[in-house]
Amino acid sequence: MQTRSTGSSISKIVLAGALVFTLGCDNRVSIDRYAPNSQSVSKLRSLLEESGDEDLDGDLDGDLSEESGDGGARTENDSPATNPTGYATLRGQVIIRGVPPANPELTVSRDTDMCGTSAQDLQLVVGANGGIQNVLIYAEDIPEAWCNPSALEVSEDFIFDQKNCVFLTRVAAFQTSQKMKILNSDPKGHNTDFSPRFGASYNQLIAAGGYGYYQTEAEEKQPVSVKCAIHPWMQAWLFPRSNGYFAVTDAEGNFEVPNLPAGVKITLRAWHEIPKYIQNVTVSGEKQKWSKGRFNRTLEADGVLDLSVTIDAGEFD
Amino acid sequence: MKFKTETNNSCFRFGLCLALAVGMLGCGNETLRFHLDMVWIRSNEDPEVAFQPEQLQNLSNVLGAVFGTPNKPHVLQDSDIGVEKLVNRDLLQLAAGPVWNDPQGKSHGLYRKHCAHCHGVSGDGAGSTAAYLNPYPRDYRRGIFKFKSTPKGEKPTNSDLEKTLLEGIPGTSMPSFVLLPDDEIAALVDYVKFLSIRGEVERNLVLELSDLEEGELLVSDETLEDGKELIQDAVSFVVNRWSRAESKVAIPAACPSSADPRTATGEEMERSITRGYHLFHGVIANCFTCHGETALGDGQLDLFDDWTEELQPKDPERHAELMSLAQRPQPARNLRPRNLRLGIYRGGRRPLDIYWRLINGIDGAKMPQVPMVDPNDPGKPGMSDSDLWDLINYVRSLPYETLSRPAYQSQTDHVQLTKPL
Repeated sequence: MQTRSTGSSISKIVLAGALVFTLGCDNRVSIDRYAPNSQSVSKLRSLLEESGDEDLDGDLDGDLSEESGDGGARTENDSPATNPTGYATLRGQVIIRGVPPANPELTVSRDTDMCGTSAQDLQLVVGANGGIQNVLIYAEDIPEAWCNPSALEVSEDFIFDQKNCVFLTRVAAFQTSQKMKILNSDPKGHNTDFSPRFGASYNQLIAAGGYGYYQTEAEEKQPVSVKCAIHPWMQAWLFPRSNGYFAVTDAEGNFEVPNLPAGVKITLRAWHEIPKYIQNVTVSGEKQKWSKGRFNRTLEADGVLDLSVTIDAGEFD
Repeated sequence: MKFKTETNNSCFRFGLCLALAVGMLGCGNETLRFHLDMVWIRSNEDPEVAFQPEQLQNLSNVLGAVFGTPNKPHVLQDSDIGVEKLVNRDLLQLAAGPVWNDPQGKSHGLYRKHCAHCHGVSGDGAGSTAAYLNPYPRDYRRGIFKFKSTPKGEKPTNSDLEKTLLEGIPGTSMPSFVLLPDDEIAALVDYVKFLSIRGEVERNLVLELSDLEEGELLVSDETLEDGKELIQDAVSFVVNRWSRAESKVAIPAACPSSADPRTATGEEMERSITRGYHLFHGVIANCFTCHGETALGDGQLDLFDDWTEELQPKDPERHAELMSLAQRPQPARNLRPRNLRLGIYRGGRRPLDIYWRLINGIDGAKMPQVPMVDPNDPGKPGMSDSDLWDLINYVRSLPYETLSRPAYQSQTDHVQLTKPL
């Protein structure tokens, strides 16, 4: 009897220990193997907390600096030494090579009287000529001083409508100087919901036949997903920019970005909602790698650069 | 007898040591650290080129430099960024670290004492007890909080977070901490803000990292100045959002006396509730689409909230991978629109609280802002201020309808409910 009670008290204590073990702290097996390195931490901290612009003495850390690279695209456009020699146009066409994959079927779960009973998720829209619609081409980090006035002065409302439970503009690129007018041309309510990283968030119910306004103070680096919680299959992409140097390809895959700064190297990016950044392309018959969708060009003043871009259908799987 | 007692004692000592040993194995304070958000890192990886270990080590070092460790949280010394204006260094230290009492009886390690077992040491909402709770505890690292006085995308104010701590969240496992002294509540508010800022800065730095060229570090000897600027921008962006919260509080519109519960006559209140009923079911406010025709919260059942959605990519293999990276309790649960007949209001039961839910929406949970009329455009469908109060009165009346009392539920109630009051 006594032995048993001793045994059970031990097991109680062990259990209590186990409980401490489970509850006492964060004891998960770490899947992140990157404990901060105390030496690097203190060096980084003094870098961040130094006052003024004095240079930091010595190495940041031996093991941090093996890879030097060329600073990537971060500094390329910042050089004040060169200035644009004029303006030029970039235009072109984006064509698919091969059989485009079928778009997924959507489940229309409510309001079938208004939304129809079946629909396709129009992720990939390919014209009769193989042109890919809704490819976004934009110039990155163009200093305001380089911009042609025509790329800055736009102020009319950007119209963004929805009808039969479809956002009528799939890729809504506009300028931060514009107000976005979100319409609802359906007889029932929609809600338009997006959470940009830099600009203001929005989730407003748009009454049947009504509208709402969105205006943002900041441009985005990447398109932002737009959804409707009432009809969750609806999808669009939002892309506010501080200048007009962007274009979305039309039904034939054509795009045109006029008045780009010429005589200076500019970085352009290409994006589509399936692969996100378009990285593997053939430009005028030559295979190119656009790492993270980036490609650099220096345009000639008053010139027109025509880009014929082909993308393998496999990129859209 | 004597012998047996000794056995008992030694057994007891042995057991105690064992218990302590087992307990301490898990609590290696030296190794306790803020974990990287591996789900977010994986989700933002280039499909063709994975992040290099050096890049992630660099990210972890940067976060360590800016935010310190769970035992020694750091407040970045840079008055231009102004972290110190948001969180008080001394309060932070009171909330951080292991649990102990000083000789004056003051409690230290408040976060681990009261919060970490559910919300996790890093504030990831995946503490040891998280798996047993429904809903799962909040992950602070996205910087999104549901119950607050500010609109979607804006941060909660100090009083919003205080209210959550003091009152708890009814209908969830979040208890009230009303018995804690004021300075302890203030310390916990600051520490939660600190964890949230740390988490959101991490997310933004991961996005910056994913935008850099292959293998490039956030900051290295070759990119010192650019890297410094990038980190400072990421921190001050989040800090600015928190700093402006107070200026974003929605100030309620005046409630007409005929809809004010304190002044309206019974008849006026009944009319206000009837108007609210029609608004609830109309195509302007559209409440019924999610909360259901009967307000039982059964209108839209297959969505996920923002925290869970991130773990739900369409590809099942990817989903399984993210779930294992998240080390998050399973299963992922759908977002449930609130059953408005229960009389349980997570964000508070005052008319003001419901006003804030309607006018601000609920961040992270799909609930949109109601559309308001535009004084400059009489053609625009929307709700007026008095419409809002009617809707609030209707919502507040729902728990008292006969149907809401299970003992009285019958077929006739159901029929009755589908027509106007």
